[in-house]
Amino acid sequence: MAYSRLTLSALKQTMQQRWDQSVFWTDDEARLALNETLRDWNLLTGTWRRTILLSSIAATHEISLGATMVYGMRVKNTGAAPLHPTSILELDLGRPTWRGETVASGGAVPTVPLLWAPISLQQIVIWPATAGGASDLTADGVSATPILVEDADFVDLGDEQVDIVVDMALHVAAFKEAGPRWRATVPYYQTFLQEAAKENGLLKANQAYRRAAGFDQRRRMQPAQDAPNLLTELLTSLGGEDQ
Amino acid sequence: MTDQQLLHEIQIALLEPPDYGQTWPSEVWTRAEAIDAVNAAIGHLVLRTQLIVTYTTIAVTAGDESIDLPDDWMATIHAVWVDTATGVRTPLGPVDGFSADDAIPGWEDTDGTPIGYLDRDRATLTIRLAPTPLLDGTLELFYVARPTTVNGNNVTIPVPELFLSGVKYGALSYLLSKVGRLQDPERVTYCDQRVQLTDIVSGIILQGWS
Repeated sequence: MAYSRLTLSALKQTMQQRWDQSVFWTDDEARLALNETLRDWNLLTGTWRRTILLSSIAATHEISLGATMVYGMRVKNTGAAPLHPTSILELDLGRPTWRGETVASGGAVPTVPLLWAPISLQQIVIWPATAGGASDLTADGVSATPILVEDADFVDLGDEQVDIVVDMALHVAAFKEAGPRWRATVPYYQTFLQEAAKENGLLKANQAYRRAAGFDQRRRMQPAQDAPNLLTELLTSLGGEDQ
Repeated sequence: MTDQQLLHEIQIALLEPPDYGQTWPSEVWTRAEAIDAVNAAIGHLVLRTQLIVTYTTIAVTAGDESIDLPDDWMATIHAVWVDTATGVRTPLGPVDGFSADDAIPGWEDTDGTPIGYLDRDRATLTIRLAPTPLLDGTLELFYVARPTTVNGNNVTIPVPELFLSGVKYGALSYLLSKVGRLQDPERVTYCDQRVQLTDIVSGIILQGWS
């Protein structure tokens, strides 16, 4: 995938190019629509990632991911194997004593953190907890979405995603118009969802998401039974199949 | 994002002159109404998606039949009983009166080590353990807390920024469904779909989380 560095100014200009009528939005509205679109794109695809160093407190299992990471996907101990993801319930059922254990506990307790579990979007727990204040733990995850404010602010986007993002921003901006003008942009929204689903296979598997993205409509257009095909056309022309 | 910035975007969407939510000259909606809509959207999103979970511990005395929940409690995510004397931790399952009767006959009269909790089967903002604890202990509680209320005075929206569209379109759905000259069922349906989309994605992100 080829990435382009696009400025806010360039994206706003592309919005105008993609709308072959009088512009109905202000500069500020275009900026807000683009930021909303980028935010939704990041929500649906997790495009913008980062790695952060986790600062754990001695003997404390809870760790905050901080303000720059929206949710964690992988936790690693520098120089050791990545931690296995689990859940609070599994920890409680499988290791009821976990809340009192640190890497210095000894016995059957490992000497490095082995498991991590999310407790909410920006908070995780590790087991066992570190004994000292310093931490070698890092987390990979989805970072906060870039926010474009000045015209020179930029964002990295795949070349094939630029039109999708710009069209979706047009759809967001057209919401205020309601009626035919807004309705005309609804296909942009569906394309946006469909492209996001291609980027994120988990979304595509979700039935409700498929409906929202219009995938099911496409399915109706391709019926599993009695669908016209070349064979039936041939049979019809030969008079072997009733119309 | 602050509440004023979000109200600014909502004003744009409703063709009100955008001034960070200060004035609503169409007189279809008031400022207080718009702020209420934002708060309702935040509350529904947080409760439905369980994006933000709070942890607390509550000391429980042997024989306690009704334990007060935190004032900001909205839903229980996970609970563990910790015996004070031994430190043994027992994960609790959610039950109601009927299932407790089936699983633990006599659970109200014969005290023991709790294995279940009832948080929607008793007086509001109270929780009961089943069976009633025989010994002193601590209840570890993960719960969804009522989010901070916004008031239009530049308060940060208490939802991770990725999920702000769920708040924006939830508020727009509320405002556009008001019976009046700008009621718009078509866009209300669309807004509800945008909110549902946020729910779906948060469910996918949190899948497998306790």
